[in-house]
Amino acid sequence: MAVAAGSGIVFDLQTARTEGIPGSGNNGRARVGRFAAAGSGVSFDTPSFIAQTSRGAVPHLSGDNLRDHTDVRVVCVALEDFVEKCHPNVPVYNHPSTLRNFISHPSNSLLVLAPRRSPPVTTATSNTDASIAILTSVGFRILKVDDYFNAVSNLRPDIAISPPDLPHQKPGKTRRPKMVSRTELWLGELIKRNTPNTPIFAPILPLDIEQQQSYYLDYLKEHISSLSGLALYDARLAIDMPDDLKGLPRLSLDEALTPHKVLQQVSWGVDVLNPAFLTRMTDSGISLKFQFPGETAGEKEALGVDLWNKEYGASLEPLAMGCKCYACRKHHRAYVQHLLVAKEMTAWVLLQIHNAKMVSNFFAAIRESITRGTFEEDCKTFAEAYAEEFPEKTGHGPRCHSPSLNPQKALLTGNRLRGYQFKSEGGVKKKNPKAFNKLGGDRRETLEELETPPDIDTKVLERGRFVEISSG
Amino acid sequence: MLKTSTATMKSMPSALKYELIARCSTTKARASVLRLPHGPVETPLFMPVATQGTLKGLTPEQLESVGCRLCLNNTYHLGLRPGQTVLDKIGGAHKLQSWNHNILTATVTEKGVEFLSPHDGTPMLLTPEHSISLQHSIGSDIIMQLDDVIVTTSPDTQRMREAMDRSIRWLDRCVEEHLKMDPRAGTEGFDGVKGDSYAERQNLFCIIQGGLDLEMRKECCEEMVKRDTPGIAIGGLSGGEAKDEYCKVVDTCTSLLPDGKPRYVMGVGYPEDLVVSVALGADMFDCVWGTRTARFGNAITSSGVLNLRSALYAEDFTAVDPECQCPVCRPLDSPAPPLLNPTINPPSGLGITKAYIHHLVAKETVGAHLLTMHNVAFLLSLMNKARVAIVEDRYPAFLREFFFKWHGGDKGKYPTWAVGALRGVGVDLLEG
Repeated sequence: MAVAAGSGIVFDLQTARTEGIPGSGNNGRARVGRFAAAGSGVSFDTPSFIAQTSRGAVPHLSGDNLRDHTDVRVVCVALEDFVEKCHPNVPVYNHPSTLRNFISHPSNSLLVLAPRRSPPVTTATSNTDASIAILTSVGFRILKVDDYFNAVSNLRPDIAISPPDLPHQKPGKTRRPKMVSRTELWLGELIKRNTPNTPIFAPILPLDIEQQQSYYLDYLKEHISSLSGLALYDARLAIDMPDDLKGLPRLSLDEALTPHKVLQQVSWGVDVLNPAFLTRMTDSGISLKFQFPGETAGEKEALGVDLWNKEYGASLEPLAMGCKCYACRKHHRAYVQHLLVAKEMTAWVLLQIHNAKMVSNFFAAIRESITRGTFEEDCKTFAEAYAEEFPEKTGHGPRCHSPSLNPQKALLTGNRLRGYQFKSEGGVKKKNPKAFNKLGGDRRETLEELETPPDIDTKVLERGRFVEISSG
Repeated sequence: MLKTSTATMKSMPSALKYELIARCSTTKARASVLRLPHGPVETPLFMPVATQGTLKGLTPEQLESVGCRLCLNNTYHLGLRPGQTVLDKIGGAHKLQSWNHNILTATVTEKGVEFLSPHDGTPMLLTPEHSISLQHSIGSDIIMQLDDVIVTTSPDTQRMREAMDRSIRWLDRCVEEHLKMDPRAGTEGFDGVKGDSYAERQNLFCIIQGGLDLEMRKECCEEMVKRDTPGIAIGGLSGGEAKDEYCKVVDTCTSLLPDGKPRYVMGVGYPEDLVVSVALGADMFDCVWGTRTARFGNAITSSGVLNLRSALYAEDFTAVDPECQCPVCRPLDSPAPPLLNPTINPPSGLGITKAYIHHLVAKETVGAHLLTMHNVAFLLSLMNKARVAIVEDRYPAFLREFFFKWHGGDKGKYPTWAVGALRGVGVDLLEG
């Protein structure tokens, strides 16, 4: 079954036939396909992964390294990374050519344009019918949906994600229908204005499917000829996609934080995934070393190697045995450790090249497994063979002096590094000690502190001065 | 002052071959091929500084792809990290960084020679013997003597003389250490026959000291030339002295140095300084400026240094330097020009614009990687162009063209020190 949806994307779903065949070993949802962008000539097999960019660059990888040393075939670029200035002064809008040209993106991978990064940083203000709240390198701003539509027309990404209305806090009863109706409204507008025929992915909101069922999904079915794919903000919803939309490729922007979560999303029927652990592990100085499905042999193997570990200080072994990536062919663990300890940027370059290769190998093995019909079984083997979580981060990140205290939390949300690549949420304390202080400043600071009312923890206020708020 | 007669000197083996190819008929500029243990390099030559065994953010492959065949490591930094034990275990700095081309190790120490490790606070004493032994472990193709450097602007001539004398004494101790038999020679994995000395595989360069005092410099040249090291460095410069003073020192030294040996002026890397120093007869240079300034968003181009962080470049969609042939500046996917002695296929072009660097710089490390790559490529290619001009005996014209472009055609902006220094070697920048 091939879908050529009125635009440059051809998605050929190859394993729909194994569905429901008894004893095939697949639960029928994991699927293999081929994704091809006619215009650019880039094509790749699915399930595969999308790399997130920061300001148009995959972190740590200059274009030559991305092009020549990784198998990244599709990257996601957020417009919020480009629109710090007021409208007439936005360089990317005034660029005479495409976004691809503006960021000199290598020709062997596709560009997906989205309004915001994934996951988006919570903003101070909420979206309106005509605008989306965004975070730029100079602070919170708003992006008019109109400007986004124009950007899609002018910047000609390979794929544009129609803006989803994601609220800045957990949506209530009235907010949820509004999310759906706004998302539909914006999609309609984008379809109407999409004269250059840029392939459009329709967002599927992180809400129960019932809440999107009545209008939105029907709307998608109606306009299926204008759509090239679906962008899932909650990967689980892949299970609930109606049959009419089955032929559309499913891009999940829902972060997969471990390879186990990747497998889970694949088993739900996602085609292109967002393996957020890729850059995070690189930043932690951990080189990935898992293979799919792996071998069960007593103790569970670690998913990665912490190269900060002194044990590897003179190790001439590659980052992962048998790996064919540039970093493993040419370099060894001792060098990467030396670079990490010396805080040299090249450490993270080599790690990112290696980790990206491990992730693409992982996906290649997943595809083979699904095609073989042993995916479910292989997932079980993998779960037994490897630890559930990555090893604890022990070293320093590229922009952080103190190691994380609670690595579990660090991986999820808590310990986001500061700096633009790692956007801060409100209330996060500075990670680095203050390098410069006032000359003999201690006395003055105590004076100042006396003048301002002391900080009181909200919890204390709740306990002491206010009536207790019930959680309901 | 210790005067040593040539007769008492031990003969010094050399692991390099210096072939003079051409000489400028007007200035003192020379072009040569320097054959080193890890392949030939062509002079005049700029050597990028990979202090800790990596050029900031670039993979060794990227460094090779911009044409670098000789880069610097720092003895002091590698001695602290990863340390001599690890270096011995790994088998030297070439293996540490998987760099199959040449390495020169300089010993830029922070303060004096006894200092506390900035990493763990342990004291580390760098003696001439220790410094040489470390450089033997590093295995660099060119090793530098330990010298006593004090700022050239120091008014204390007594202290300056003491530093110079000490540097000469230390050179003797370095030579002594360097002439020792290498216990690893002849064993598996090592070149050379059993009984070879380190000196047969690594080249020790002396470092001329003497501050800005030309008499002292002359004396130092005379003494050090007697020691017959394979190459000679002029040290203690580019520490904030007036540029015309700097030129006088280089000019004086090169006049006293033998023709058949490479001359390396340490710490010089600003394009104007480079082309003038070449005219004064220097061959090799190193400097961190080009790579450091890249991280601040400054691009070195044929029309001067551009601060790409400036809003001026936010919408400048031209290449970083349209005349540059480096992977960053060449149009996307355009093939690379051939390189000297390559071990890799150089990457095709990336077509990076000033606007994109402006967008990235100081916000994403990739911006620093790209600009570092360009700046290194620019300095390497500047010296390569100078070399071609010398070979074709049109170096004076090259100088005039360089200064004209660098200053946007405004001769009023030419620095007087450069005009003066070049006049001294027969080139009038302001003429024509």
